[in-house]
Amino acid sequence: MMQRIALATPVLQKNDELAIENRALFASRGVVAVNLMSAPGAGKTTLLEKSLPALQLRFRCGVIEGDLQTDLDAQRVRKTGAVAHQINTNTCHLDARMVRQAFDAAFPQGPDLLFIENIGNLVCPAAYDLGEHWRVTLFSVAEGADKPRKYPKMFHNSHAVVLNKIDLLPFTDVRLEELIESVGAVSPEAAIFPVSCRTGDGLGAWIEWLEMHIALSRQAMASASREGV
Amino acid sequence: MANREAARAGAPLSAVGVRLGEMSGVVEEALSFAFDALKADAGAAQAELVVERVAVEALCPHCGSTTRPEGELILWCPHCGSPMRIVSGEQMEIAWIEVHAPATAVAPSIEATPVAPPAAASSRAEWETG
Repeated sequence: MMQRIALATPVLQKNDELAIENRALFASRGVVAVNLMSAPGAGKTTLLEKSLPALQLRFRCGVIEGDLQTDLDAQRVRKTGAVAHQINTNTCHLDARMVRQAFDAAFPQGPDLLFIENIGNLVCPAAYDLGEHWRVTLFSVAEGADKPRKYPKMFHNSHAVVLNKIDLLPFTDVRLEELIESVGAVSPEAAIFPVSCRTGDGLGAWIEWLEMHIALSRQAMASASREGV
Repeated sequence: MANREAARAGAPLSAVGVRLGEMSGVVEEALSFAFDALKADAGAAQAELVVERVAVEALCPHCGSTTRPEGELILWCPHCGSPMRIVSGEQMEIAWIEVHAPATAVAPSIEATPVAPPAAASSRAEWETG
């Protein structure tokens, strides 16, 4: 005689609970968190290097850098004046616990804007809620117009998709319209920003979107704290 | 997690039912391999893994229709052309466990249903009611 016990427990339940705690902690310190994801080499750190100088004029910025090894990225980001904390994970994604530990270690005062630069990987990071407010996927055009359709989850779950390295388009067979259509097919509501971190093209629109969404999160956190939620 | 629940039920684990969305990113073969590799050390050498795949289902908030995109994912509503949202197909969950019926009663917080041995466990109806 067998007995079946219904559980319906998400495998990542523990992570999801910790992510909720992170979100509450961020709210209590007035931190807006952005989870930046991409394949390796798409330009996450470069995007931060190019975006932070403008953002720092308005916000105190912090960055949690995830990499398998080295603190090269944190060193690069620190040159912009932002506070950067490197975590070496030996895993293919960041989870909510790692983010919490890094946040506690590096940001006793909580920045206004926290970037979490995830591990370079187009698959696993999409499954882990880190407690962020906004998810951004960065993609370099040279990776190919078909990839968003082949790896839909990360794109689908992103609020914004930044298409980097458009300066390389003339040297590839990728058509930007086709790539944008491919992102739109799996993520119809994401804002899409074709940019070149190298030339600076398109970065203004991306930074404007970010500033607008930082303001939205701050309004939401302020009204939640007024209501005592 | 499954073992902990089995321990609460006070009986050895005989099967674990896992529900995996087509968009969960989990490779079923890799999961089975890992399950078989780990189960002996987890004290559940006889336990069987039963996987149910869940198709991707998208809802159009504009016209209210639901679609199961076949093959390639395209989230523009085929009826009205609006953006659709995925409502199912991303899950990765332990749906149920099966234990050899214990002598003692099961902890009251857990909904327990006696069922036939796991041979019949993959039928659609049981999944949906499980």
